[in-house]
Amino acid sequence: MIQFRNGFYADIRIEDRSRTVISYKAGALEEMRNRRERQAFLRVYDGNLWYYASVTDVDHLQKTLDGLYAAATENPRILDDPVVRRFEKNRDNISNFAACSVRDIPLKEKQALLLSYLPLLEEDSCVALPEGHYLDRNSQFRFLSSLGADIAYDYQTCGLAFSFSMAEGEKKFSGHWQKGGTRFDDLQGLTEAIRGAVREQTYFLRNSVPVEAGKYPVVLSPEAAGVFAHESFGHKSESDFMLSDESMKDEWQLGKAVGSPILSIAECGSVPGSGFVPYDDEGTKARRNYLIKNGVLAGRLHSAATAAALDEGLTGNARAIDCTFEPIVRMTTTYIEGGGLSFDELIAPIEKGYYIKTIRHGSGMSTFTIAPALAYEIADGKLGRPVQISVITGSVFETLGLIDGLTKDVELLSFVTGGCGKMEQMGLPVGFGGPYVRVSSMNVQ
Amino acid sequence: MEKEFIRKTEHSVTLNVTAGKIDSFRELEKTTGTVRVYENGLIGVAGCLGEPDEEKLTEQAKEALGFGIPYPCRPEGALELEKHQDEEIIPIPAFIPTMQAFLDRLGELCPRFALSHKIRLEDDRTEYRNSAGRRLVSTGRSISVELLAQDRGSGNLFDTFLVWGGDHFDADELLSYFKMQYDAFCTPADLAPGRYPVVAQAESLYGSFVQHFVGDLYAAGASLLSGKLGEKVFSDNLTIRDDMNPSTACGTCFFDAEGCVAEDCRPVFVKTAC
Repeated sequence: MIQFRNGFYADIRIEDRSRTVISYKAGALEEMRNRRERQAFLRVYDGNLWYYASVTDVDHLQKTLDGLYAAATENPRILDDPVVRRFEKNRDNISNFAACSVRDIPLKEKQALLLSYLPLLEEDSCVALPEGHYLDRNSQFRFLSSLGADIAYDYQTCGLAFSFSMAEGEKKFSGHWQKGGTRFDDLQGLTEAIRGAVREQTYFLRNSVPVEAGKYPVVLSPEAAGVFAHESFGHKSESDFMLSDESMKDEWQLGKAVGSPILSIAECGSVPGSGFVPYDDEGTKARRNYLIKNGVLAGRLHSAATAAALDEGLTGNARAIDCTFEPIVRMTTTYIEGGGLSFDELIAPIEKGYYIKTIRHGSGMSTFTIAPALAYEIADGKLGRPVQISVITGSVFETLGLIDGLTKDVELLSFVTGGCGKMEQMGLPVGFGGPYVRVSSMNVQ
Repeated sequence: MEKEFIRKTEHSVTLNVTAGKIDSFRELEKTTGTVRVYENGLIGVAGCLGEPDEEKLTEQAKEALGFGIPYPCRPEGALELEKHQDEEIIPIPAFIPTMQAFLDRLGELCPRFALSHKIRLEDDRTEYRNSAGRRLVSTGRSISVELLAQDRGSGNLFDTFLVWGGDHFDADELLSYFKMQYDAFCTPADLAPGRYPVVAQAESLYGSFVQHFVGDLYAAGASLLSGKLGEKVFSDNLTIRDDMNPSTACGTCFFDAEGCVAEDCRPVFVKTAC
């Protein structure tokens, strides 16, 4: 039983994490392990400084907490502190995965599933170095605070990731495919999906032609649109970047028009998948937050500290990649809301343009850059040849204003590799997605 | 059966900076242990977070041999070597006042910059042992200052970095170094499009190319360098080494995870163009 002291705010986050990794490279087993780790992160705040400790010895948390209390200064008015006043006092116990925990599935069964798909990568002679990975994670979180919060919830992801180098003559292409889910059963019956993805990429290797650089209408897939929303606008909505420079408050006033009137970007931690965060790492309950609503700046993402500094409400976005780090403002699942068109209706008016189906990476500041993997011509309203595009790029705000079509179908994607990086905390699981998005003009190179 | 044991301890104290002021103090202590065993061309691995129980990990690694993971190699032979770089840089109780004084002076020197992010003291210890008689120990201490700079009013998340790392802290020296970068930032260059000689930090030039030096990609024929070992591929002036020598790479462990120690602790990728 943890004893919190008066005169301080304190909280404790504990994670019991089980992870499985099975990896094959070129047909040979490279890694097969299941690891269980327990770690805790403790915070004490005295109204002036935060004191943090990260420990692997979770059986002696009181001693660590007392050490932090000793470093801090007692503050009889700590409960009046604007940061402390914002903290929620939630008490909850969420168990979504007790009946289907990946911890209960034998390693051999996970290996057999991965092995059943590996031959699909080698059906074409141009594949040189096929890699296949099975990954899962089940975490049991507990959060306790000196204000009385007591939250337990579980988190689970599992998935398959394949990559393969392809070479034919001078042509080279790095292929990949992955499927993320939350239940082991989600990974059954994927043979045709994997085979189709490999065939599409080998066809791309052999038949794609270089793009003619210029400005064109571009259609983004849900994957590309999600990356665009995450990189180009989501990071700008993380309000910790507003704390150092006072002028940012004028620059980022809520209510300002920042995009096309058909554009709404939302963020929500309660979406099932890799971005599932029902309570953030400060114990704040997840909610849907609009970043852009009908083209207007509608909100931003907060921790308690940033919400207090900007005098705004909590959003449930204080997150850490694990119990090594303190929570900072991060995204959960970020998505563009759908419109009213079908895919065919979306591309029908385009005489010459491009469709970005999958991407390698993206980044965004005042300008954004997305490096596509698979892309196709759009000619006279129809999809055409595969094309090699190194980057699509442009001004973030100009591009947000040039969005002129959205499909009604929306896909939210979940992942088991990669993740979002922010400074020292890399690989945070997030989700993203959206509809198919048409932008009337983008730089294509 | 052959065996390797690795124990790593990381200890760090990190200060968070917001708007030029220190607002948090984080202490991290992390110990990890790994045992790898080799038998009949197979490898078994076991690891843990927290103080390792070598006997237990060895049993788990032996069990993992049953997975049949091929790894046809032998641990490196007998060698006893220790390199220690553990002079105190700043006493922990003095860390906050020393660095806040530094930040205050930096803020006066660079008034256009709103500064945030981290300042860190680290001390790490890595121990490697194997059944062939190799025992290596590396300890390293370092300090790093990693500041994001927003040019006030730019509207950007950040506009540049002020980053430095070393094994000692001299405030005057570092302020002078950062001021030079600030002055360069505040002096926009009027460049016409064209081709120019460019001076850049080495890693920014070869960063995206470094994957082509990875051995298994090379062996599979998927590297742009595949089959070109020993051939002249680059400029005659170019030699690329990986610096694992603590005398020039502060805080670095001088051996890799399999106990390999390169000549001068600096393995060579490219030697005078080849």
